[in-house]
Amino acid sequence: MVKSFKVLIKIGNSTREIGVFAALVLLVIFFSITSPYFLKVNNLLNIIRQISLLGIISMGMTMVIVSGEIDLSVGAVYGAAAIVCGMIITNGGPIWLGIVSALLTGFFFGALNGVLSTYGRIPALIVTLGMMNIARGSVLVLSGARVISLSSRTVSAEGLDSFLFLGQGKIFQIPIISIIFILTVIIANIIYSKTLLGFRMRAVGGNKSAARAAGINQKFIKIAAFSLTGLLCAIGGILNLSSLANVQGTTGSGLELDVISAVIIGGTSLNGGEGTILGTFIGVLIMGVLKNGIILLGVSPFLQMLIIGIVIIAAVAIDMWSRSKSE
Amino acid sequence: MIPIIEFNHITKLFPGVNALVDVSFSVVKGEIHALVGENGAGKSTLMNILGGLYSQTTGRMKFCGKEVVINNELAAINMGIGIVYQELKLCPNLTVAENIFLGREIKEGMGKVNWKKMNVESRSAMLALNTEIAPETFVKNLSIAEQQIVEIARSITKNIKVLILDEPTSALTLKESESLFTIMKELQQKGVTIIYISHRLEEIMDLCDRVSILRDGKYQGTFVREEITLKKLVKIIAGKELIDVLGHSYRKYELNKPLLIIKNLSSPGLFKNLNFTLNKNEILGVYGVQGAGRTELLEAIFGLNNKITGYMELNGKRITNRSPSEAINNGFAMVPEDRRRVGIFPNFNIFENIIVSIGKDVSNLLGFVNNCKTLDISNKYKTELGIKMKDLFQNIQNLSGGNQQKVIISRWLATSPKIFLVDELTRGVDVGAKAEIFKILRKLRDDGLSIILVSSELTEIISESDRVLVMRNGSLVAELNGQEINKDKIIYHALCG
Repeated sequence: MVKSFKVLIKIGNSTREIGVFAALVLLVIFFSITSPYFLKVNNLLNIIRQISLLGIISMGMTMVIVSGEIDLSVGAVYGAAAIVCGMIITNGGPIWLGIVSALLTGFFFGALNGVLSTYGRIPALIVTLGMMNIARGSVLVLSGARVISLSSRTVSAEGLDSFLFLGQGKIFQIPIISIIFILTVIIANIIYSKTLLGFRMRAVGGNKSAARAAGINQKFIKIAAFSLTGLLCAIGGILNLSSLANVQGTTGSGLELDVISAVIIGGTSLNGGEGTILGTFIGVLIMGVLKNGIILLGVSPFLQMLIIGIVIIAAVAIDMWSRSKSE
Repeated sequence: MIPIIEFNHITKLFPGVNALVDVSFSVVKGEIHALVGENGAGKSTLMNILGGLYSQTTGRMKFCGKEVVINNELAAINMGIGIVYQELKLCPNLTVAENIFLGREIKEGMGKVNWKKMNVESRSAMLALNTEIAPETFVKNLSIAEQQIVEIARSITKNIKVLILDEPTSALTLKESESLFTIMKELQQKGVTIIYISHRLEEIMDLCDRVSILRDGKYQGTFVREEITLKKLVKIIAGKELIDVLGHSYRKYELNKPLLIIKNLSSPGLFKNLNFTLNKNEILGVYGVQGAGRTELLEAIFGLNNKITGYMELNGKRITNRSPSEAINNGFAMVPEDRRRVGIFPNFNIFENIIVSIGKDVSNLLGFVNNCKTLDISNKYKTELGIKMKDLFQNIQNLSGGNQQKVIISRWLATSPKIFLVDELTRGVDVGAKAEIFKILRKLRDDGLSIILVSSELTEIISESDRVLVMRNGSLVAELNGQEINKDKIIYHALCG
């Protein structure tokens, strides 16, 4: 009996992903046929590399959206964390301090988003819209809008090479940032589907009042989701700094829209309560494959935006239509 | 005896459920026709087919002698069929007039809306229904009863022939129900045919000309009111006699072991200076008309209202419940009044709905949930409470009201509470399931639980309570014991005292 139940859990939770996954397969087949370069190992590794940072942040965003909230500040927090790290390192601070400060910066902005939208009772859309400007503005002031670049001339601390290796290095041909991305997916999936925290995120997003009456501290759950997202933004920002060896005040602008798009393409409902890490992972892959494939086909980057726009709307539309049919 | 609606062999299949099987009967022009049956018997499904929301799998319908296919709600409205659904479908942010004319606004060319005319017509529509609700009032400021009237006014279009009322009185007080019945009688005199769905059989016996019965999606017969007794009706609906269904509770315990003492509990505008004691092994009934403060009292005890003064003693120790999670830690559990809004998680399956409150007991230090434990727990309650379902992983929204309520009871039993607060436990639940639920409640009481039972149904309060508190206007006005627990006494205290 128990065994068959477990199978059912799996099936019940994965019907959505099957659709998203089918879309991914179709895209891969399409680009494999139309471009001889698409299926090359190098190109596939390139795709994985390009989506890693986006993917890391999307894991947090999934949790925030499932909890019934939204975070528009991820791109700005990502940039802010990178700037903080870069400024500390280039001003003679040790590298570990730069990393820790960046993580704290991300966590701080995330937690602040959470506290203001729960205890402060300000809608998350407004809070994070404001926070986006606050984070962006404060780093522009801090950095004086200069480009901060890391090199042996600007960094006196030891370990710069290993720091840069984090973002630029490869293990068995696989970029380290991609390995970190995959690890993030695994950890996020464990948190989301195996722990109380993940379960309660879905509860809070599914029915806020019922969650409160069921004794769930929905403020805590939401703050946790926002803080985790802030932390992941910081990780992304640090890795970005490490891979480019430079950062500026505008790094990461517009990233929030890509992140939200990936989450939504992955089948997470903006109404909260429904969505999975696996779905988001596939959504991120779809974004990567699309962008890469379009470039390989030699299509103009403007057309690329247009196509991604269509995909977002189509993904949600198919989801909504299939659901209203089953009801 | 001209039939206005004829159902011919209507069958409706949902995935996994046969909602209606070969249902055939007719509704006569100008009558008040009651449609009764347990929850999940198929009443609402049949009405939704008539209203154009669903289409039947097989079978045919005749309306005014002509065969019809009703594809959508608008088609039904145009044919003169109006439905007032159980769940009110009004926009709270709009005015009465705006709601009444929603979707068929009066225009005056160039797309401009003629508010003045809409207000005038709404006022006369309201007068026709014997109320004087101002058309400019926002719906959110109306009571449930008033909202219902607005809903009815909206359904009564110019060519209305058939008005369907789906459990209109389940949220109404006695007095409000009475005025609804007057309205129904007046509509009948104007030639409107009314199909009336209700669980309150007494009402039906007073009001309706004929009654049709569904059980498990199958048609059980149509009776003229004079031909059938209440007892027989219940028997056909449930296959059980009323006395089996809601017999008296035992009252075999001495109520002398105080568990919870409430002292001077007040909340501005809601209730004031409440003092009472809840004993071990007790079902304490709390009765009052709507607005008396019953629900508000439970919410305050359970930590859903922080603007309270006074205090509570549990086992002689002073406690405060500032939030539901504190209340749960103190051994409280609450089944809320509004199951849909505060009870169920629509995105969760039955299993997840059951385990949502237990948290810490089934997870380890790192927060990992032990799925063997949670499955065992939910399987246990599934069997113990007899929850009817396909399996634990079915979506909760596909269950009948009674079974949904059992899921929510399971959720709370899983937290092993000492004090169980239940609010309108059987709202929208049929007689058979009601009996099952109360059997569960009595067993919990026998097992040592203390229960506060808030209900607007007198029969429940009388049959289930070991002791009854009556509230009026936010105050406790009476405590009734033993023989004092009867209809006359309770109503007297609730209304005037």
